[in-house]
Amino acid sequence: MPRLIHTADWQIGRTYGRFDDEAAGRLAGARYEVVGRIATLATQRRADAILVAGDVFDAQGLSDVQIRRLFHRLAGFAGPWVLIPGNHDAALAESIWTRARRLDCIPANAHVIERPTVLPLPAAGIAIIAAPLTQRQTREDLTAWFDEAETPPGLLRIGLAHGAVQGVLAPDIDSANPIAADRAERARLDYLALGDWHGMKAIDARTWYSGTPEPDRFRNNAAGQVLVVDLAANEAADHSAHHSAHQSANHAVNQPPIVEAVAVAGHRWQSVDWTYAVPSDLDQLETQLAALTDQDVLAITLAGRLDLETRRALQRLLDIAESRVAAFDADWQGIALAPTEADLAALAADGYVAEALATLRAGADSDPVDARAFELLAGLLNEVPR
Amino acid sequence: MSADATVPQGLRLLRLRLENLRRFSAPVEFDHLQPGLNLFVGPNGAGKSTVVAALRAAFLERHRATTLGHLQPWGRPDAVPSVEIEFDWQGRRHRLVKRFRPKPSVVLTVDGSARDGAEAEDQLASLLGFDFSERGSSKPDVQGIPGLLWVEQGRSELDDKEGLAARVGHAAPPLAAAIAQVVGEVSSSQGDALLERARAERERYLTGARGQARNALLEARNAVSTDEATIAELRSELATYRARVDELAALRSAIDQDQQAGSAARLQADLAQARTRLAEAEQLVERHRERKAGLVALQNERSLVETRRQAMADRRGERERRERELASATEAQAATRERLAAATRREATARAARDQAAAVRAQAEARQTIAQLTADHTRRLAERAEFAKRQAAIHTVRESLAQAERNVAQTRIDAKAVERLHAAVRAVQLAQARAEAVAPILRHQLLDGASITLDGRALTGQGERRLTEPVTVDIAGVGRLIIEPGAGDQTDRRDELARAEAQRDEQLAALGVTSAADADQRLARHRDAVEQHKADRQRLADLAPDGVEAIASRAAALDGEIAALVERLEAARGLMAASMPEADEDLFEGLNEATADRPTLAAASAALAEADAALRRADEQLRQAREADVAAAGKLAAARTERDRVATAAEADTPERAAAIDAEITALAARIDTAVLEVGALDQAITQARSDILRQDIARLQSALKADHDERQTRHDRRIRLESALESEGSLGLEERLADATDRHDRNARRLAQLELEASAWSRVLELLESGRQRTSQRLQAPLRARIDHYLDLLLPGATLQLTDTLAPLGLAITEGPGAGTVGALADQSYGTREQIGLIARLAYADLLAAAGRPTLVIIDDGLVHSDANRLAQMKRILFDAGQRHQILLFSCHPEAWRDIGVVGRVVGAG
Repeated sequence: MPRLIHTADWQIGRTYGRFDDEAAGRLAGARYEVVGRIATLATQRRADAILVAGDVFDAQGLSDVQIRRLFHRLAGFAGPWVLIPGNHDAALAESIWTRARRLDCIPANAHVIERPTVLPLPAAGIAIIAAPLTQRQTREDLTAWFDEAETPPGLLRIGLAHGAVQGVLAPDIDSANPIAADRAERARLDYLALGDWHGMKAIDARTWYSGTPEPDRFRNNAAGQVLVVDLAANEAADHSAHHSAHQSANHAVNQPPIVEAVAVAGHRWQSVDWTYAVPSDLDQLETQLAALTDQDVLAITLAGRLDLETRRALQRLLDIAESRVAAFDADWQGIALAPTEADLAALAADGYVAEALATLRAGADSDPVDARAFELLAGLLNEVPR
Repeated sequence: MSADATVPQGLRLLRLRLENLRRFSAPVEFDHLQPGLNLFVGPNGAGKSTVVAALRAAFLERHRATTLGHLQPWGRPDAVPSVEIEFDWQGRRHRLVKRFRPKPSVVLTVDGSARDGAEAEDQLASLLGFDFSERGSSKPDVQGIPGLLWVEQGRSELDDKEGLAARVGHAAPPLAAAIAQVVGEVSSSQGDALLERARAERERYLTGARGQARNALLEARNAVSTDEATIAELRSELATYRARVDELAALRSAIDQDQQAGSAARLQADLAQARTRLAEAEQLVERHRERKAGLVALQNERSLVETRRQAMADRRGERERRERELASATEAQAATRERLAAATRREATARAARDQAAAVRAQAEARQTIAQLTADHTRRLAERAEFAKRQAAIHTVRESLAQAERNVAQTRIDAKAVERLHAAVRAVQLAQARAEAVAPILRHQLLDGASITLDGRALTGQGERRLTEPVTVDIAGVGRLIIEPGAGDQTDRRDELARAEAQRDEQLAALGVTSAADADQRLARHRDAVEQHKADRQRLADLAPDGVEAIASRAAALDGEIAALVERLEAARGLMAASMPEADEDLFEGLNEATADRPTLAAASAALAEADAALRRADEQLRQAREADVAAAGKLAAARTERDRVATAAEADTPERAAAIDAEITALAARIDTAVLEVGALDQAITQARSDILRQDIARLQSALKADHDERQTRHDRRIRLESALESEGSLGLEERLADATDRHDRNARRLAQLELEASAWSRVLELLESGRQRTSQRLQAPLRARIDHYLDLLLPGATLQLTDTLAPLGLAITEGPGAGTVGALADQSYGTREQIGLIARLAYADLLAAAGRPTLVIIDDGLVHSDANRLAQMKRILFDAGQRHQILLFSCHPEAWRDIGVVGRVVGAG
């Protein structure tokens, strides 16, 4: 009963410009670390092979150091790694893969498949039928040839591809690199391991997207996992011949695989929308933020009209939260400053200063400059002795 | 403000007492001070300034101040200066007693309750609106309202420290409070401090009026643009890199296709085929060339044989022709011989005719010569006769000429000598006359018949005689009388006469004449002879102009010519006779007469010329005939020779031989036809083979092969270059760097946005505060301006005083009347005007303070001394008006100037 670990979209080399330097470095490093955890998991679960369905690297033009660092992380698993290029790291005439080969840093147990090929792994009881991307984008279904692909008898047929299953994924997914939804069935695959979609998703019983093992965006799409796939053992020695004679009977013979999603992510990406309406909203936010740890990546979008005091309190809450999480990003666009009469009275401005404050307060609703100017003038009034 | 409020509501000094102050050792007191104007007058040094100093010290100085030495009475350092002042304020009676060092003390009694020391002084300061200096004597910056309202002697209104603007500044807080109270509006209590802070904060980001970025904002802007540039550069590099990767893929694919398709092999095969076909075509050409050569050889052979046949025919024709030519030459020779004989005959005839004509002409010529010579001879004879006549005439003239020459010689006499003779004769006559004049006269009157003789000659009758010489008279019968003229004159005259007569006689002798008349006659005859001689010479010259010898030689020449002519005539006659031997003498003799039937010389000459021409023609014809004869004989010989040669050559031309040649020609024609067909067939085959196109094919395929090879080589080279370039560029980590740059840009852009917001917000704060302050300041100026206008309208109607933010006078604007629209700084005004404006401003401040319920006391120490009479009059009205609201203490050393101010001046120093 072969056991595979299915993962994809490691996106090594991805950067995180929306965060500050420190947080961005932390998140970039996490992408290497999760590879180490996958290797450990595969070793612990005694997996027969690890399949990586494309987009190992986020870009072609990474530095040599990053390439070496990644392949070094594969050392945690002694079994075969099978990797194919995706759209981010397509096997172009000159690619990150040709550079890796020149650097001679690909370990012997890692199989990088750069051309449409059948790779038999008899020890694992499987034959990999791979559809690597050799262009950044293609409009043709690179898995089409799977239907006709010959595999050695006795080995399970495992498809490995990178692209968008047609008619299944959300419409905003680019329809480049299409994959027929019924490819597994038509090509008599025991399992079709897919990459490209960063969330985990089952297309059918034998066709899965593993999603990225380390989330890189704020989408609630079950990212951050790998799939442990237990395949039913091949029942007949003439498996292949049998299939060609009775295509439709294939799945009746081999049971669908048992697929288990295992969380491996180092960080949880939390996206919070917070709107202020009543004072208790602040308390509620405080509670919510208090639950965050240094494993969390937080993007918070703020909205509402705040008086001066609430504005200060909110700033304090977020300052604490930022110090606690791995990465932090707050969007204040939706916040409008609405100083109260009490705010104004407390400032005890008189004469034309009072007039200026009133002008700024009136404009603060619509003009961020006025809002900030109000805050600054209020701050000055608090500082300057009367 | 109620301008007509009566003074008792305000501060009013009632009494002032000084002791031990400067010149006042004894106590001096001024009481019953009036609520409005109070005038203190006195000469310089009378103590007016001491009074003012005492007031200032009493109110403004700490009683313990150590710097008030100037208050000490002169020469009494131990005396205690003291001031006592009573005043009302808000209906309460105040009494201030202040003593200075060496025994300082102060007591302020208000309605009977007394305070002393610092407490008293502070109460006073609060009441009047001033502060005390920390140490030393009171400085302007703490003097507040008194500093503003108490005008010191000789202070410039423009003084930085103590001028009006400074004083207004020092009084700002109570003035502001007063204004706020009057206007019911406040300036901002923190405004200026906030403004300064906001300005400083904005200055951290932006500078200058145009708000140029600086510091962090500038750095952030630069950082973002640097990032943008970096990103653009990296993107461009990346695009290039990716394009190269694509190019490499395309190259590899092309190279693979090359190898699979084997385009080079196909080209090679095509080339080989083309070469084979070309070789075949070239073989055809070679065969064609051989066949063509064979054909040409056959054709040559045929034409050779045909030439032989033609030659045979030619020889036959020539022989016939030569026979004909021989016959005609024989005939021609016979004809020429005949013509030669005829010509010989004609020549002989012509020669005879010509000889005849020559004889006729010779006779004619001789006849003409004789006739001419005869005529010539006759003419010469006539001419000779003429010459003979002239020679006779010449001879006659020459004889006459010789006679004339002799006559001339015989009669020759000197004409001048004749003249002189005449002169001598006249001299004798003159001398006689003179001698007679002195000579005695002898008159005689004789009786008829009586006679006497005188010198021998008888005298009768009457008469007289002058006696120049002694005379002898003989009287018949009587004897003789000798009468002698007396001596003297008589003698001289006689000598003179004798000399003259001697000279005359000498001349006569020289000329050989007897008398003058004789001389004249001879001279006339000489002249006639000369005339004759001259006429003869002329006649001789007319007869022989070239001389007598020429005439003679001409005559001799004529004789010679005549002799020669006779000789020639003889000769011509002889010649004629000789040329006509058959002619008889008669004919010869009668030559001259009978010429009619004889040809003239011209006709004879023409006939001779004609006969000559005929002879020449006959000679020519004869010569031609001879030549033609010779030529005909030559031709005949040649024709014969040719005829013999041709006959020899044609001996072998037999009919059998002609038939054999014909047969040979027929056989050759058949072989030529066959060869022509073969060559034509080959021609067609060669045309169809198109070897030119085949050669082009080969060239084309060869260059295609080369191009194919070059292209593959180029692709190969390019691939290698691309591979190595990409290899080295890949390690640069372009995308990683781009991602980093993008991240950096995002962060910098976020920071920039924050800084921009901060900068804009500070600018906004500053803008609002500044504009607010401006507006407020304008509103606050309004009441003060009203008070100023109240006074200024009296002094300078139509003028407006401009105020600074701090309410100090700034400039004077003329808004009405002459000079409207001009604005002048206060500093540009005359000293008098500045002083007047300063006082007006102070009175206006006083009004403002009074309206706000503040105490006002105006002190003017010797003011308005620079004002002209007109201005001073106006200022007096102003002061009087102000006196309705304020107590005013006016000190002056010009009592007369203030006589019309309306109050009685108190004399300082009078007692």
